[in-house]
Amino acid sequence: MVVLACSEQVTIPDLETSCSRFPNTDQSVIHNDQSIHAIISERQQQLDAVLHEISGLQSVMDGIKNIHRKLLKKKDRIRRSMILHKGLTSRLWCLPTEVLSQIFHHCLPDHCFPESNRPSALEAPVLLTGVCRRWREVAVNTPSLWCNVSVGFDNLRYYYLEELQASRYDVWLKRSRGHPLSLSLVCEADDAARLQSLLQPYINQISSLSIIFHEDVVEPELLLDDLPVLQELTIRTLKENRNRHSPSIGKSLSRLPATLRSLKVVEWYFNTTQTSFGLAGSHLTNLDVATLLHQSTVIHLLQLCPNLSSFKFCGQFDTNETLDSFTHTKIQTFRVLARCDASSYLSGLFNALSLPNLRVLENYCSGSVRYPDEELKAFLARSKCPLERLIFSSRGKPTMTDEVRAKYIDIFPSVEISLVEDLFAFLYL
Amino acid sequence: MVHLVTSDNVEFVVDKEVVERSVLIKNMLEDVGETDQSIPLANVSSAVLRKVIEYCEHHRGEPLPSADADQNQDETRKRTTDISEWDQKFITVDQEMLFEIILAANYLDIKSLLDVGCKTVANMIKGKTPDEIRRLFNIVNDFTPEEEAQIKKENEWAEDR
Repeated sequence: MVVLACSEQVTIPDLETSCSRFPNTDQSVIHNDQSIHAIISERQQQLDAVLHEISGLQSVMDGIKNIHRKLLKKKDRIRRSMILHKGLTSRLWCLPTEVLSQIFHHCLPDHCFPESNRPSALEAPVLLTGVCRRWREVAVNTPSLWCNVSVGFDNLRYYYLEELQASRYDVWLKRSRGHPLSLSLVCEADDAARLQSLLQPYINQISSLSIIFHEDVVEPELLLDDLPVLQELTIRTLKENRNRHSPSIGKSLSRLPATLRSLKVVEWYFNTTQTSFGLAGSHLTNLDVATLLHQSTVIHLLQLCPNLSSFKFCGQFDTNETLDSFTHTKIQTFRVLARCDASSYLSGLFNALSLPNLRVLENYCSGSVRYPDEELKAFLARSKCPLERLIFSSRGKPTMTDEVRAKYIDIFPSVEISLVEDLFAFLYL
Repeated sequence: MVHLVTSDNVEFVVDKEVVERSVLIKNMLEDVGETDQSIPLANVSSAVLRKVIEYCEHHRGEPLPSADADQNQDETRKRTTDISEWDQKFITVDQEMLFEIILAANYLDIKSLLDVGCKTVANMIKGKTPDEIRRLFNIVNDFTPEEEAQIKKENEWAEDR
């Protein structure tokens, strides 16, 4: 409106003079200097006037622009308020933060294998940060949602992608805000140094760690040597050759912190060489190892871990050893997974061992060879333990004759005998 | 028997054993002692309390989770979204009632019912995209375009590419 009003008032003056009609002729012949100077002076006045008008108009335009900017801001605010109030119609808004946070916990994926717990924008907690502002605020400010993650750099072709991935892991871990962390790492080739650098700020939070070491891993000990509050450790090594082992990992086992209570070593041919440096076992209460090649290693590990209450191992023995007798007073749960024909070679172990505090004994047998029932019964009788459960498990449904069952009942009248088809133990083997 | 009065002024007379599944009411009764006076429940309507009582009746006699046990089982409890068959049938209600039950369970401090409600909502969320979640719960996307771009950048995990 203002601009239109201005344009209506603008009239173009007639600037024609007798001189301007023939500009290229000799003007001195036609006009004198005085008349030309008068024209110039008049033009100057006209120019000043129009410049003044332009300046005035510029101020008006600036004012209009300012009003336009303010109107846009007003529109955004009104729209935002409308969105906010529309959102309030969702009953979810009525839920207190702690309830919403509880719902979010139930949204966390329940992966069977921790290493598959890779962050994904399609799963909680990342998914929850992209729904609306309130969900984002609640999710980001609930540290326990960010305490469990699988970290790995595999399948990334370019260095910049690794950098990007590392920065995203860092954002994730920062959100845990000092809470105990439960991490799963996948480590191959030279990943160890990169993972160590990423996790360094969080070493005082890592209470549970599960690591898969690929065969080509370099310096795996970097990930095991500085974990001051670690309580649970699972090491899975992907090795095909039974004669190979990782001395550097073996050395690290002796340096694990006194806070460690549970150690699981899977798919690693464990023998006394690995523990020749010792085992940070004096405080361990749970030990789960596979695979032991010698019965003497069982006794050796028990000696290294005097406070164990639960011991599980997978034995792949191919000979019976004569062992010195050994008594462990703390073991309450003893799980023996005998691979292939190894069950027939357990008699040496049962003949040497006494477990006076034993409450649960599980024998898993993957082969079809006779189980050393007589030696087992003698071991239990000698241990004089408060046995509550006796479990026989195998890949297929195990069987037991009434006669054999009666003999166990004779020794422990109140014992519960279970015959279990254990598919998970089969996977473990 | 315990007398409860709802926000819409309806009185319910409920067996003490049933109503004591609510830690709030249990504590109230312990503080006040035996009384014929009604307990006002200003935050619970009669329709919702009827459902809550139905739940408590069904689970009458089951052990209440202790504070210690609750802490110990917290992680496991939070991670599983399994709901028993009866509870599933019970909680199959419209969204408004579902959230009202959750709010009532939270107010009355009935942990197991709160759990069932939260798990049900979690099961509705799982496997959906942010857009689908917004549509399901009538949530408005209130992120600015700049915030949305930032979130997109932040959430582009390599595995999702």
